[in-house]
Amino acid sequence: MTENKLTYTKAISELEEIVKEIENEDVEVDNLIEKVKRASFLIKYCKEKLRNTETEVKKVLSSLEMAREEKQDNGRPS
Amino acid sequence: MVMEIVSLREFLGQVRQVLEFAYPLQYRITAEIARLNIHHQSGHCFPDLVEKEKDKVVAKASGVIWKSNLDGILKKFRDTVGEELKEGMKVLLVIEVRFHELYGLRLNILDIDPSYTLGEFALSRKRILAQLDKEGLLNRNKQLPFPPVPQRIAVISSESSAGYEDFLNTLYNNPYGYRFSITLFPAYMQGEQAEPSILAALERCYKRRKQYDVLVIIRGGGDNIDLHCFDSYNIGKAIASFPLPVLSGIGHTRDETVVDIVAHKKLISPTATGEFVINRMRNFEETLEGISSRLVDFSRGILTEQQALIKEADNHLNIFAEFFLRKVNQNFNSIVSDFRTNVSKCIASREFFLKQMPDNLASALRIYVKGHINFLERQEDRVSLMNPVNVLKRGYSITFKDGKIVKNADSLQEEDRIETQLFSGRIKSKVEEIKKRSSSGFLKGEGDDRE
Repeated sequence: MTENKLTYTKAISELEEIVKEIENEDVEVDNLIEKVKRASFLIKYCKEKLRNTETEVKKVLSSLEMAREEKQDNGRPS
Repeated sequence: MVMEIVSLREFLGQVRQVLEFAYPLQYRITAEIARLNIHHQSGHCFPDLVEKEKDKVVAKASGVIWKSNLDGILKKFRDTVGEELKEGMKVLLVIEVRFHELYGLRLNILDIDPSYTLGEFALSRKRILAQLDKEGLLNRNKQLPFPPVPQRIAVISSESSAGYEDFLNTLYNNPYGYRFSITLFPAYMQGEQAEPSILAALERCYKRRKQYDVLVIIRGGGDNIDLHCFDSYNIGKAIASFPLPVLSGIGHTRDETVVDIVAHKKLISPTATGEFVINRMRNFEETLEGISSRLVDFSRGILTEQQALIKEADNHLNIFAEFFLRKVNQNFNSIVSDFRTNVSKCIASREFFLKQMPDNLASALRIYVKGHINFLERQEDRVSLMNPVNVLKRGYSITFKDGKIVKNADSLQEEDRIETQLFSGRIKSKVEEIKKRSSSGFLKGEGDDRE
């Protein structure tokens, strides 16, 4: 996934930038479609991420990982 | 004075009498409970009371709370302080001084004033907060930016607690369908082990801090509300300096604990904590929706505007084109008609010219010929005037010497033979006398013409 590093914070600031550009009419009509496409991608991405099941998968992975770490911690002489 | 000899028992009996005589009333003293020592069989309580100065015990005494008083005292303490009476607490005691021959000095505890302990707690909390403030930690967690979407949540709580259950239910049953990734770092949330256990959980969570957006501390709930560990300096410090924003969801109605104060945000219950997180997500989504509708509105606006512009331009273009064509047409027409007029004018003038031509030519010729005739006539007159015959006719004569015309007397000498031509006939003569400079004006013009 190319947008792996896209965080909510980055997404929202990019979105605000786009909206500002459009509202200030800094956007050429030729670029408008690109901007709107990008914005709608970001919105869709965020909205999906809010509800996506990926987090569930991560949760499972994370608990497995933690169990392993704990085992290692316990195995270490203190 | 001879000292009476008495037995130990008699002597201690006297000491008891003196002591009880000297301290006949109830007294209010402050002390720290070093050990509580509840005797399970008898139900009595034999606390060890101490006073410390810089962690060093400087006074020590035994106390007793009889079973008959114990339940009332403990209940009142619990209700007021919000915690069980326990070792390490500073208390205000109402005591009587008792001395027993077998057990020695013993303070009979009639009552414990819980408001003193509460005040002590407040003081201790104040000291901890002041210390954290001094270390620049008091507001450190609050200064962390709170993530717009606290979706990956680390929780420190006890697994089986009702509070954790409430928190999970609130998140998992959120009406918007938001998904959360929740990781529990289990810890004891009350009792003696609470502090080290919570610190250990914080440590484990710290190691994995990059995987979470936020840390939530949820306390068990239920009747037993023991918050003492949340007023700990060590936990307060660990939370204040934690790299993730910490939400404190320790449900209670008491004064704010140190944890509540240093946390990024304090919520009144685990459920409220869950709701806070959901609201945060909802706000984010509303921002998204706001942006989305602004985008749509503005894009639509821009498109409408552009369409209007295009339409207007189109109209203008049509009007202009029409106008232009009409104008061109007009110009063309006028050019054509001008051309036509000019051509016909031109032709007419040529025609006129040509028509006039023969007449003009004829009259020109006439004038020309007449001019020449006049000229010739004048020349004729002049020529005839110059004919010497005509001059001779008028009485002039021409003199020759040796066949040449004599115009100057200087060219002659006396005795020269000369011939004179008259109009009619010639005469020969001899020069007698020469008069020089006898120029005669009337001959001058004739002489010039002849040269």
